[in-house]
Amino acid sequence: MDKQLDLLQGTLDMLILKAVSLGPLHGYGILLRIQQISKDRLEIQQGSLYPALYRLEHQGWIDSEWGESENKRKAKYYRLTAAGKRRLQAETENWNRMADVIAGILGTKPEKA
Amino acid sequence: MISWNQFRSWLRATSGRSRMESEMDSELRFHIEAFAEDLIDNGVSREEAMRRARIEFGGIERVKAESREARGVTLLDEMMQDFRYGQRVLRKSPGFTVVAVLTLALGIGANTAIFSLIDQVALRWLPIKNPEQLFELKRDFLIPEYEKLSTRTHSFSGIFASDSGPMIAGIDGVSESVRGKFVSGSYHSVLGIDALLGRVITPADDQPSSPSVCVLSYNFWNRRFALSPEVLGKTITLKRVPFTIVGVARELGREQGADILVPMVTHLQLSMKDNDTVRVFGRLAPKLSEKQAAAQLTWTYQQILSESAGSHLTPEQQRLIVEKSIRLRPAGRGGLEGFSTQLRILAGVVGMVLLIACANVANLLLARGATRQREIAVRLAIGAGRWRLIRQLLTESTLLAVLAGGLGILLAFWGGQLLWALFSGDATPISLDLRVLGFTAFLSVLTGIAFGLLPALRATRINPAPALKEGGRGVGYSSWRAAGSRWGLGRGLLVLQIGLSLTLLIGAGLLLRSLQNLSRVDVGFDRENVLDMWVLPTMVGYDIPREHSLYWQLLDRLNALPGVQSASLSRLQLFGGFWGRRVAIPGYAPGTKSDEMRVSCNTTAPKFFATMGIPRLLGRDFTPADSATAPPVAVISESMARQYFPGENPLGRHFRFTGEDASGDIEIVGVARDILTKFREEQSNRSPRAVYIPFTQAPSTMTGQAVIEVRTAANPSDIAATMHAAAEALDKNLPVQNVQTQEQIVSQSLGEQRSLSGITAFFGLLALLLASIGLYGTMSYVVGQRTKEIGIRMALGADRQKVLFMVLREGIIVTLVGIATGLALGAALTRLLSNQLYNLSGTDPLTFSAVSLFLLIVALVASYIPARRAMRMDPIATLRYE
Repeated sequence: MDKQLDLLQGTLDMLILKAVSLGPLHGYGILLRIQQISKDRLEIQQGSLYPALYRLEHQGWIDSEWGESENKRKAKYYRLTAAGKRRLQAETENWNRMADVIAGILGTKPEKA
Repeated sequence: MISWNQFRSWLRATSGRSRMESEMDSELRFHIEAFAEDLIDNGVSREEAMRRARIEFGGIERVKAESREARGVTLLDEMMQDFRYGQRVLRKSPGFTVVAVLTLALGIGANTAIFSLIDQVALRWLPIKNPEQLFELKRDFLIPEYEKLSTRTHSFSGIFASDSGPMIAGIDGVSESVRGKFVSGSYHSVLGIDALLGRVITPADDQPSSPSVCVLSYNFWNRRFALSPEVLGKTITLKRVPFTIVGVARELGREQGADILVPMVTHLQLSMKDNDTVRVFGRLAPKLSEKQAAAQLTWTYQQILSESAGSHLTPEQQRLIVEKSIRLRPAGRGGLEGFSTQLRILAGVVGMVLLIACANVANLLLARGATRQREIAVRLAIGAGRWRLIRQLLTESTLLAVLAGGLGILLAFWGGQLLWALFSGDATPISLDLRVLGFTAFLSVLTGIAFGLLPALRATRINPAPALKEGGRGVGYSSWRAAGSRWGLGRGLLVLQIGLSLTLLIGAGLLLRSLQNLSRVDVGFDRENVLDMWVLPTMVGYDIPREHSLYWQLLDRLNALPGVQSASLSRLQLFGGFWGRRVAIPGYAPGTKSDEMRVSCNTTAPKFFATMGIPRLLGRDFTPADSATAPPVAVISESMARQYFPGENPLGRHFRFTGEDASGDIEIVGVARDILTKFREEQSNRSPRAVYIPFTQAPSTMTGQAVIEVRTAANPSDIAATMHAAAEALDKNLPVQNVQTQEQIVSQSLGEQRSLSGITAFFGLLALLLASIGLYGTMSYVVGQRTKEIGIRMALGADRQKVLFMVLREGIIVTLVGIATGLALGAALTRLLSNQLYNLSGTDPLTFSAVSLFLLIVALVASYIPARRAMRMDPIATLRYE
């Protein structure tokens, strides 16, 4: 297994939005989905997921509803709202631009004298 | 900005708190169990799976706290928590709580009382449409002048005249005295006041040929007719003329309001004949400034004056007209102008009291902060943020202040009324409306933060480790320095308290000394053994000949009474009214000062000078022979004789009244000693030069009512009933009012001065009490803190006297610095008092030193008690105390 990476500040929100953009999920499901997509290369403190979820819901980017889990248990499901969709798009573009810039800077080779 | 979404989520979070908590619980439990099941599926034992799931998840309580915070509930949540905690803390130390709440309640209550007064007399808008547009024209207008002005001016979108005065109203055959008001037909429409019942007064009512109608104020309708709608069409008799009630309307409030309103056209018929002028108000036309309007009005007014003066104006007449400019005064707030300086002084006084109360409670909190050091250290050590702790301490102090605010409102309500009744003899109702409550609530919260912030900052600025190590008692040698600096802040607060108390006491001292000076002033007449009684024949419709014969008969009867030395009358009461006139004297050229020809005028009956004890210096008194048809005569005052007839005999010389009510030549037949018409005459533009004329020869504006004066051999109050009966025997309907001794009249004229100095002295002593409690408390605290040090000193052989002085020295130094501060502050602030002082410098050394000495003695006593306790300590016991 690859060495796990610590999550960059502020990226957890983006990952959650991405995870629920594919369909409604409960908290644990979101955790599994992120681990699955990242192929277990990201280290996420499980507990830190919930303050983030509540914050996103507070801001109106996700919405929640109680439903039934695969094991027939009551679970709270989160789904992306329209505002959340726009937010995810904006964040994605932002991230890509930033990644390009950083990659560009880091990729610069010393010029030959 | 808070979006709707955030608000909804916050609302859900706060309103359904317990539901949210349980949902959060089951959500987190689901997560942990789901994770554990996955682990079990991978072959981990159930017990181990649960354990690992919990560990991987992290601190559940922390997650919950962060989640709550994410939903925006924590602030309110914590405030509630702080509130409950604060409540418990305050209940646990009732002594501290009671002292702090009482102290603050005094401060807040005093401010509430004064605010409600200021609000009522100066701040509140009148209950009319667009009150900010309303202005008063600062000048008295004759009614014809007002009528011309109102048709010609374009400076106002509306203009009206009014004049208030007492009236006797006959309602259902019963006479009662009411507050009447003459209003021009435009009054209600310009103010924008609608009728509550029937109709208001209209321009059509204000015509000589219109039927006599009147409008009742809402308050009078309520008080007298219990809001009965059947008053419409009833008649009220005013001076024997029936007036039909056509409506009820709201009036302008306590100061400017009236009971019964009648059209201005009835003024000549119904007024007290003491004036033929009215007050004029207008609504400023749009887009016109106050200054422009005043200039336009002045121009129009002077034109009207010169037209009515005729075609040939003497230079003197021209000069008088040009002098008459018009100033505008905003009239939209019910303002009592004369009272405002005193209210401002009182506001300053109560502000200082509140400041002292704050300093006092802050000191108490500082001392408590020291004893709570351990609690605070523990909370800091287990991770509470400093800001969080400060917030909690501030919640406590705000809680104190709000409790005090509640109590303060009660104090303002009861105490305020008592205080006013005590000092001014007039129970001014303190009205508690939303504005006043709002002010008090605001003041309380502000106060809570003001006195709580410094102690809270100080209490949380500690290093938890050493504070914990030292155990519950807090102070040992290592934190001696910290304690020292805390004492520094406390010392500063004490200096502030002592300084402010001294300032208040100096103010009170100066006011009381001036009061004393004033009561010793020679007023020029003998105020003892004289009884005054007002009779107001014009209120029941007497014409002038009947009025005169009434006076003659009444004086005859009174002069014949046993125990009466002499009886007389005058139109103006001494130390009551003042009537300024201008005179012209043949052969005397006025100087440059425009007020030089101004004299005061009074009308009298024979024996007036004997009755009032005013020595006559030359010539004769009036006699019944000086009748309306006899040649006009006058007695003048000494200073008038000196001014206009220097080195000459004024007897037989002549003068004339000029201006309105100009007269023909009047012969001077006597000279009397100068008298004062009121205290501090020099501050108003009153002149000591006086003219007395026989009441039979008075112009009509000086008729209609008179004050009967009787000099008695014994206590004048004994004769009051006899005097009243004599008037009643002549005419049982004759209005008789205000039977008082002349001494009471003179002393009442100092009422404002007395109430101001009384209230200031009261608050000054209160401030001193607070400051001495503060000093006592702080000294006791210091002695407590230094127990061990004192024990060691004594064990090493310091004698008890030395210990006493060591502790006492602390108190004396603080007191002296406080006194110095107070003296400086006092010297700076008493300048504001200067026109309340009489024959006294604002920096009167006697007052300053006496008050300082007094304060020093009180402060010495306050610090001596704890110092003596220190002296009596048993060194062995104190050292074992650890």
